Amino acid sequence: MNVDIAEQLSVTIHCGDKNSSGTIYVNEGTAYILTAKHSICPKVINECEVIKRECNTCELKNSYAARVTKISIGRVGPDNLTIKPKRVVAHNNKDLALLVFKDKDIPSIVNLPNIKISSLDDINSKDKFVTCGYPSVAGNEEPQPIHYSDMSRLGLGINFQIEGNVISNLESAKDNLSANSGAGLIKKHDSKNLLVGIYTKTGDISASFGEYIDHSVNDLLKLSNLPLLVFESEVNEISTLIKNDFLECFTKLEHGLILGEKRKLNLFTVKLNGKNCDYENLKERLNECIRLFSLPRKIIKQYEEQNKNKKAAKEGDKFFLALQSDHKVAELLLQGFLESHLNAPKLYSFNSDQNKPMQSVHIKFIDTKSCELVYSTAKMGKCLQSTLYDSLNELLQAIPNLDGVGSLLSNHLFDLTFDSNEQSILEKILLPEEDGKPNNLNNSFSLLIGFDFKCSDSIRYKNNIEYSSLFQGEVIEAMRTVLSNIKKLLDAFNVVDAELNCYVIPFSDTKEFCQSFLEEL
Amino acid sequence: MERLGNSLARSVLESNYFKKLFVKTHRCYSILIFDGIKEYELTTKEENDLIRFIDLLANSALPSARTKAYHLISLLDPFITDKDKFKVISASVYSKMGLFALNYDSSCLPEERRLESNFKKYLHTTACGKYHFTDSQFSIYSEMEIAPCYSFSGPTSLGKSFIIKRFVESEVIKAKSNLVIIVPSRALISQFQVELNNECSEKLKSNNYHVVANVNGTEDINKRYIFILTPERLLNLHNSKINIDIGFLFVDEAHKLSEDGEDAERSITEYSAIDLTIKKYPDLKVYFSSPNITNPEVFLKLFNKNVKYSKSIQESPVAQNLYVVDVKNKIIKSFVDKDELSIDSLIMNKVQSVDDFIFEIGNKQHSNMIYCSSRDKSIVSAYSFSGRIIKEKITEPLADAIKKISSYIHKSYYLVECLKKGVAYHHGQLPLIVRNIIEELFRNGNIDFIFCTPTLIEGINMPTKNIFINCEDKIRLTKDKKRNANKTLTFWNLAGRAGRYRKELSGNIFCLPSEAKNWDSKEIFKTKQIKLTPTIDLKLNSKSSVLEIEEALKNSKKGDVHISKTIEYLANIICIDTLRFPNGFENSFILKKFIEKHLEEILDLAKNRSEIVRDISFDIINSYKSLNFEIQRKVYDFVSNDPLHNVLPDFTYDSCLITLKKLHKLYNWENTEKITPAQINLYAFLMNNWISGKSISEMIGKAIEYHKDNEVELYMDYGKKKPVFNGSKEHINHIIDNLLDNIERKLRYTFERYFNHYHKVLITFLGEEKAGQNWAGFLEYGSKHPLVIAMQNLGISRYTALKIFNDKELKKHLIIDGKSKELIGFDKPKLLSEFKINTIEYDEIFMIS
Repeated sequence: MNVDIAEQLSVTIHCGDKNSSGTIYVNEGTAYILTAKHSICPKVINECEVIKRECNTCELKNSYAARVTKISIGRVGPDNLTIKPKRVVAHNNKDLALLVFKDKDIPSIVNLPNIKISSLDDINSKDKFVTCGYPSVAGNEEPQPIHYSDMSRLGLGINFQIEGNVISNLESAKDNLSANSGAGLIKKHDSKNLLVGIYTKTGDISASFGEYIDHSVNDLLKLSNLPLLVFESEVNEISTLIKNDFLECFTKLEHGLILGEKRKLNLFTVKLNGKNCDYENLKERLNECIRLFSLPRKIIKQYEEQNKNKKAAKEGDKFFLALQSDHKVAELLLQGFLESHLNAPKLYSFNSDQNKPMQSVHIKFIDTKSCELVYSTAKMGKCLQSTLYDSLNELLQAIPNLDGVGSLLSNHLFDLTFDSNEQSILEKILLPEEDGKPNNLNNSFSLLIGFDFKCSDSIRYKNNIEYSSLFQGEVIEAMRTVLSNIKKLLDAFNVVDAELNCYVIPFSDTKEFCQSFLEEL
Repeated sequence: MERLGNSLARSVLESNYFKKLFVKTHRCYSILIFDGIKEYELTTKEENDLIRFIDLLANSALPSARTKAYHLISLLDPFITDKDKFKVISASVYSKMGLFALNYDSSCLPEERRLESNFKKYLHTTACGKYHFTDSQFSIYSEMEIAPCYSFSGPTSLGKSFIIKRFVESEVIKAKSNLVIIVPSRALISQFQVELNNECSEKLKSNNYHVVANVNGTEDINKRYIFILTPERLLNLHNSKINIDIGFLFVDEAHKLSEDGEDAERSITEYSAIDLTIKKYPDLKVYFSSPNITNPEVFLKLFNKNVKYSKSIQESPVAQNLYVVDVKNKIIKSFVDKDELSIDSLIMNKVQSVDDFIFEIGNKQHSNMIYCSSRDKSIVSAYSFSGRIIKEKITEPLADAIKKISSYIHKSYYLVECLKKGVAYHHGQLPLIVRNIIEELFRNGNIDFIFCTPTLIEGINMPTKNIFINCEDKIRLTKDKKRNANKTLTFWNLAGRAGRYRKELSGNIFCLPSEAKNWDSKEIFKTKQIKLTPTIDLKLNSKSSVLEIEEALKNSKKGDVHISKTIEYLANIICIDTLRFPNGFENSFILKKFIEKHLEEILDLAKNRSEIVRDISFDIINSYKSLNFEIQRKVYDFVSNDPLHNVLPDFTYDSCLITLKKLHKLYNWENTEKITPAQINLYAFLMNNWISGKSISEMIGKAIEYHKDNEVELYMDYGKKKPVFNGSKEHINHIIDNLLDNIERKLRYTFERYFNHYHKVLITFLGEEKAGQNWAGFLEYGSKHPLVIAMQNLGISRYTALKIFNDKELKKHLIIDGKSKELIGFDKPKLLSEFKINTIEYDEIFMIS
């Protein structure tokens, strides 16, 4: 699969007497050919070595200038076309150049498989790669699949091993792979086409060198007014996984209850397993969240690679237990809902004595140009009415005194990737400016209430499907009663001109749930 | 898109507002340092904004951003250390960088950050459970643990030896292998030995490990060893009949493999020692550590290892502020990364000279190191500087030190005078005992000013709050030069001493002009990390050096082409390798390079030249590889004529004089070492005193007496002055320094190598038992008595070993193995009870585990 993609995207590059390889990047109509700078430079690499001129910092200027008329790209697309580039964009610190297609040549490649860029940060020591360049061992005529492993950062570039069986076939790798420069390093993946960088040099003992693609390539394209490359983010993938797994622990109840204008009442129950709530599943997920919500992704990855993950999780539990907060389980639940249901990543977490009763602030993107800050608080109590009443009341008292946010930013946020609109919004919010203009962001609020709930005994004799529906009905009914009982407070809350998201979850015994969760840690 | 953390950090670093705040904070800090005035200029908004910027920087994965965040914490610390928001942000930055040794209070952090801090602290705990790795150390250590070889580099304060020690410790716990650590100097051997013994004493004992500083061939196969050796001593390991296996080799300060100029010879020795070790032990795991270089993988490449096992670190657990001070024009410039900032300080109105400046700044902080380019400069500068301090302030530790040094060396020694004022000097020729005393005093804050030579930059763990660097050629770039890898490395290795991790957050570097030199090019201040080329590659990449090698191989008489010692040494190694690998030159690291560069004709020449020594055993050649082949041949033939007759006699003054005269002629010392026949008498006198076990003070006393009685002319200031000895303090100090220099350089280095070689030749013909005494050992240990030598191998100094040896009562406390009759230890409590507290002997025995 990956070899096939690599082959379809591979091209030959000819510049003067030099033969080398290149790879086509195509994604949603944007297309480039990536190759090594030394592949399109008029000089012979050995000459440069003698005068200690290095390819990565070479600016391809003056006598080193790459001229489009001298570059010929062969084996392009399914028809094996030979074309000339319209323009060369050379990187300042990498032995990497992007050749821009002429408009007339684009149709010949648009149907090629789309590919995304995989960030080096997402590469694990076990990942494997393949190139399908045109090295001299195949007479520069046939694409030669070569497999690699053990990719790691080396200085400003990357280093990887040619897989054992390949090297034994190649005998003298250095000579035989001489025209492999520029071949795209494709990450082996079951379902995705991911390009990491390009091959640039063959070293000793079957080690080879390359350049990886990072944000600096997009910075360069931006400067050149060209469309950007699209990166795949595995961190976001992991976040999505967390989100899905978390929400799957609950059932959302459809109800006609009205909390008030701009208020959203999200009623959830812990998913039923037969006639019992599946607390074990929820506890397991919450346990995972302790680590995932508090540690930067980089650290989690580091621990995973060193097989210290279990050890880390164990210690994390210990530290979580040591936290002083009375509502730490409720807070963990709320963070899960905000990240997964509201799609609002955590921005700040407050110190325990700061800005009470708020515990954290999340950010929610409204559209491509705007966002709002979501202040949040969570509580669990025996009685739904008193817990909800107290929380709303505390919130109402606290709102006029909110003095902006000044706490430390959340670890989790820094690991995420955002699209360029979201990123510039975040920059605006987070980067202080000299003129001190206020951010003018809208605020909204989130509340999580856990309460004790027991359904009527009679419905327990119903079959599972009917039980579930009746159970949900009783929860909704309990909520309806509470809402009518605290109507006065809800009316008073109308003075707040901001959205309120209220997550309400019944537990058979909140205290017991929290205690057993903490005890099992 | 890029991860938010990194992209935000990049935006912060580019933000003009951030830059403005940084400059403002830096200026406040600088005024505090220079003028002692606490003027804090940030408004509340600016302070809050700066804290936000710091948080953004610290949360990125970019080393430059994290370093900047930490730097800002260090700049703000003197002003707002008590504010709650500073406590939060500083704890957050320390946690992000894993600086657990700062013992910060994480309870002020928000919960998720507290969790993160605790998580990391737990996982960064070392195998012994006593220490915690910083983020940088952890990333290196965890890779090292699973790699078959490894090379890493980082700033001085990274704690490279800490990583090596922790690795050694984990291997000691496993109790499987013998280990070798190569360090560049004897001073470092002692430091490593003491530290390992102190930090891992229990584990060493329980796993039967012995930390030794020499290889003597009698190592017990049932014991395990950690050898801490100089490259020369590692070569001895290959010359001795050692039959134990070595599992790990650590090359500390590996950049020494890249020295050029006069130090290149040692680089080649080190290369050669490592090469032999790798070839001898095929399963050996090799690790390299080096200072701030971008390409630590270069050492792996040199020995044909996989370059992927390498890491270059930029982050440092201490921040540094670099100032370039022009006393004459009253200008102070600060260099922050690539930027140059002007500092307007009142101090420049007060100072007229460089010494004035050092005095003014140093008076405010009690940890000042002044770099001097030579031994003489360090002595003269320290002595003259101490003159400006009027009041003596002799603390108890200083009084003890003065007493010890007066009795160990001489009461009129300049160092004794300096110490009375809280000033000291430190150079490579100071006896180890004295150096240890001075280092200890400085670390404990008993010395305010220490004037030192480059010896101190060679890895000795002695950081300082302020370092003053006098401009000199070894570390400055001339105007037209933009870069010089070795100078940049030396400069930053030296500057890296500024800042004591755990004592303070930052250190200050003051670059000062010297009498004749100025910091013409500022480029050296702007580039901390450089790319290094090993000496061997440097020579092979240079056309002129290759030509020189060719000449050296063609014509041993050198002809018209000047051939340096380094080239001759290199040429010898090439020749030797053609003999070592007759059936496959590509198996030799160095010959392979010639093949790759298509320089086969050089290899043919080498093959021809190697014929001169073809029948001489590798043991002999390896014992002195840089020795000219014709001399190798001459000595070999000379001894072969009548080996028994040429065995070294029992050691006496007369036999010493006769032998030195014989070797002078045989090895052509007049040309190779520039030793005249007349000087041989002096060296025989010295050598006799040294090997006969005279104490340093006795030797000094005798030398002074001799100069006095014979009205000897002194050779001072490179021969510009030749006064007759007049008994003055200046003349006495001149004699002392010369004597110490002769012991260290001539006896323990130059002569030791020749005697070792000569003895190897004898062994070849007569075998170990009949080859007689090896005087090289006597020179190394300053004694001919096996018991004194054995005591030194246990870590006791020559001084104390001689004291014990010469006292029947003390000798009783030594533990001798009944069977082998070898010294295996001593009764520490009993021995301690015999010495007075606070004497050199007591302190030393107390320190040995």
